[in-house]
Amino acid sequence: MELYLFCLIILGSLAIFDLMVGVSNDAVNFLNSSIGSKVAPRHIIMIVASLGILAGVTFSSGMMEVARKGIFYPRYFVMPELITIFLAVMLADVILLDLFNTFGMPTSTTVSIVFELLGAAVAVSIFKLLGQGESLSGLIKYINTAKALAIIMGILLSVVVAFLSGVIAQFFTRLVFTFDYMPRLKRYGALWGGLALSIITYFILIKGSKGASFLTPETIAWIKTHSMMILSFNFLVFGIIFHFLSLFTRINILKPIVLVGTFSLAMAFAANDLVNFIGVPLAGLNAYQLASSLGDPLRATMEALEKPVKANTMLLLMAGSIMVATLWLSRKARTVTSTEVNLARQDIGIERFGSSFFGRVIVGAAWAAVGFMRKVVPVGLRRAIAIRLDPSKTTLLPGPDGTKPSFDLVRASVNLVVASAIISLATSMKLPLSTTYVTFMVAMGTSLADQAWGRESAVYRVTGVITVIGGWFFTAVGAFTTSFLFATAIYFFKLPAIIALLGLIAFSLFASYRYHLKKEKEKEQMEALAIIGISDPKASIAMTFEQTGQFLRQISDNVDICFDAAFAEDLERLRDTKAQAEKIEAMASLIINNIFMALSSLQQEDISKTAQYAKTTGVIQSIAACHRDIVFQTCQHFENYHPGFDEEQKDELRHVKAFVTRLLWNTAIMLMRRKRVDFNYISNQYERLKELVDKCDKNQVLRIQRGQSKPKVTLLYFALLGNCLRLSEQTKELLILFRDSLGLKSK
Amino acid sequence: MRIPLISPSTTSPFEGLLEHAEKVRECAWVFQQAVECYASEQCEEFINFKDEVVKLESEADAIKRRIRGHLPKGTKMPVSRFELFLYIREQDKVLDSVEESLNWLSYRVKPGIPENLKKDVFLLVDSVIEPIEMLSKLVFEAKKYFESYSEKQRKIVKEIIHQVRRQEHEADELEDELKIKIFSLEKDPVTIFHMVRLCEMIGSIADHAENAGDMMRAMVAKKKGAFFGD
Repeated sequence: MELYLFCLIILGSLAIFDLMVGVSNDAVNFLNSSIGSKVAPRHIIMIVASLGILAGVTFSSGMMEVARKGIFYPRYFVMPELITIFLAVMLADVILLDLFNTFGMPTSTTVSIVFELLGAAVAVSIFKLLGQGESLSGLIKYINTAKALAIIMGILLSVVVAFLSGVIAQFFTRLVFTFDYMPRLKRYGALWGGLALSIITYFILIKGSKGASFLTPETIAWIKTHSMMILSFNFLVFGIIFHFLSLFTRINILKPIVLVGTFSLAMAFAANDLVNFIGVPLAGLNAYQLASSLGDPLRATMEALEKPVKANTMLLLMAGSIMVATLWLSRKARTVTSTEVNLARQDIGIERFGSSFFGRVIVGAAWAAVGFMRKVVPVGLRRAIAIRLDPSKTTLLPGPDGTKPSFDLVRASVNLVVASAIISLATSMKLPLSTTYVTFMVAMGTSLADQAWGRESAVYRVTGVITVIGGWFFTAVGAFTTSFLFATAIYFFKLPAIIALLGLIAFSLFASYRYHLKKEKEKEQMEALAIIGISDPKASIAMTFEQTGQFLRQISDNVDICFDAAFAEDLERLRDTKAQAEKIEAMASLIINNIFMALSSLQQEDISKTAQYAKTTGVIQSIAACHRDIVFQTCQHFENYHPGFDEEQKDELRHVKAFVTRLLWNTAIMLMRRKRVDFNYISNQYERLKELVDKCDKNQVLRIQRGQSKPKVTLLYFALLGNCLRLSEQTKELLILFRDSLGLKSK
Repeated sequence: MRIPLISPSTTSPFEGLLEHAEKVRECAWVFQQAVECYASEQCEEFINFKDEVVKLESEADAIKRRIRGHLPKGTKMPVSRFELFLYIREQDKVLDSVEESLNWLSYRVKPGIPENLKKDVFLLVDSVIEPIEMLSKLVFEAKKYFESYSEKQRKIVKEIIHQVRRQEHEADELEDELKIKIFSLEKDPVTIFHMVRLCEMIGSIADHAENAGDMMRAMVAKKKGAFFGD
């Protein structure tokens, strides 16, 4: 029994970790709309969400059944087997959810826990059946297959329903309010407010009443049977309130709707999903207490677990406090939220996801469908719709922090209303669904209807959505497999396996923490590059100088490392330079964008200066391409295990590298510090490099004639010489262009 | 066994060292510009370059003082303080030599560098600048080594030190060749003295870079039994 007591302590500790990783992933569900629309300062949004969570946890006492009897029948298991299942589930859950958080991917904690319970229960049942000499067909007796299937089907269905509902609701709401919604809000605001808040409050009632101890079963039944009456009454009351608010005050009535919606979703999350984090450890505690009270604790079956148990309110509040603390402090929660907000963003900007085959196919098909619709829909109707749905009229007013929100309050309110409506409808019909999947798909549906995925960004956004949905399938498969394997290890190896798995968790958490920190830093650096929002031409030019300098400096460093790694034939470092080269390319695109903005702001002052723009972008692209060629060709050469350079070649290339990096660095310094440019120095360096390259060329020809150099290494050698020379030439050219177009002083 | 620099509360002394090395590198480039300017005879910017070197030197001094004043104590130091001070001193001497060479040039503005020596002087300057450029890379890689103590990283550091030594040797050879060429010139003794001394001064820049490399070699050497930095 000591071993199981130890396991219980571990389960308790894992519950804390699970709460933290779980909230980090689920916070996006209720924060997405308010943060995306910047409805209030961040701390206000967090306070509202925290209150929602604390209210929600007190309603969740009746929700703990899923962990105990939702997926398997405890009457067929003994306490040690149940503890094995629960431990495997918690260990797998912490690892899996932390993995998703690290990559900023929203997933369903419900799906994760359900499949983990399924995986571990199947593993233990199989070994139990094999141990008893029974056939594996008996597995069906142990697993609550009907419930598991219902959960899976419900979740899949909710994804489709949520997306379509989001598209339709947003389309019609936008048709009413248009993108310039403020004037129409005065006219239709009270109606929309009444409708939105009546749905949201009904949602609070439906979700809250399920676990609320102060409501009698009769009251709950009355609420369910009088839905329409409650909805109509609320609609009337809220409609009148909002009408007066819009008549006599200057309050934007969409703000209270979004904040109340955030509160209600936070509450629903805490009430529903708390079970995903502490349900399993509590079930373990129940099993242990039950077994201890029996005569033969290790062999008695656990049918008593099938009876409903009420969780301790203090325990629930403690769990709620951990959730709230995590909500405020977790950096990973911000990463997950930013993934969803960025995918739904109205503006163009830095896209997190690249282009994929499926993304292109879907966008192509959608484009064809749009073309077909154009032919089918009458021109008059099309024009009328186009006037009302003109995204160029978007009025994204700056949020409390002065920056532009990702989408407007109309979309935020539709997100919350549609998600609340779907979740409360499914709950009242006892259909299982994932809050994450519903809120995510609604958000994507509304952004599609709002034409946020224009041709500038559609492929990247669709790729992002496909990646997230792919992650959901991975959640199910990964959760099942991981907990199956963990349960197998614990079932056979007991304590050593538990200790090893705890070690694995510690390592995984530490590694993911470091990885996330590194990625965040990189992201911050990239975001700092964007000069969107800077209207002062002088400031944007200063920033362009700084950024181009940084760009050249990074190229110089990367070329330096690449050459050294090639001399040492160090593939690992070469691959690092390749990864860095890709980042530098992304940086080049941003800088080109920024130069465009800087020059377009200059245009008003002096049109002649902007004439060099096309040349400047071309030169920056050439520099990035030369750098890319140097790194990629070198990397490819050594990845194919071709021979390295001989000492003579290394020596020559070292000198060439010294000239190139020096030229790049000096140009970088001149740009970053706005130093007066010594063109003579740069030209001298370039001329000397040219002489050196000529000499190296001749030496290599001699080596070929003497049969000292193999074809592949010769190819690489010449490619490096050529690219280095071109890189220097283009850098020199860039300096001249900056002088001519942006006023860099020369000596 | 030494303790890697993993504590987030510890500021690595190598951050400052890297900053200092970058100042030294920048200073070397300004020195190169100054020499080219001096050689062109029509350049009036020489004095500005000289001032820039002085400015960079004072900035590097400030960094040096900051490093000395903010060294972590005891176990948080990955290397011996004594070795670290010696290293900074050598890195700093590079700057002193650069400044000294420019001063020497400024003492005799006319007739400048003889036409048939210009290319060789430029080559010599190139050759001394290369080991200086390597110093910042050396510190950067050493910093990574003291964070991980990986053998692979140690090899990278050792390879850079090896390169610095080789470059210094090349600079020595060029210095010797140039001196021979100077003495073979039929010029006035003052010009010959001025040029020979200049060669020696430029050569000494690379010597200090090599010394700094050697100090780094001592720092990354495997030390048996040493657990704590002093």
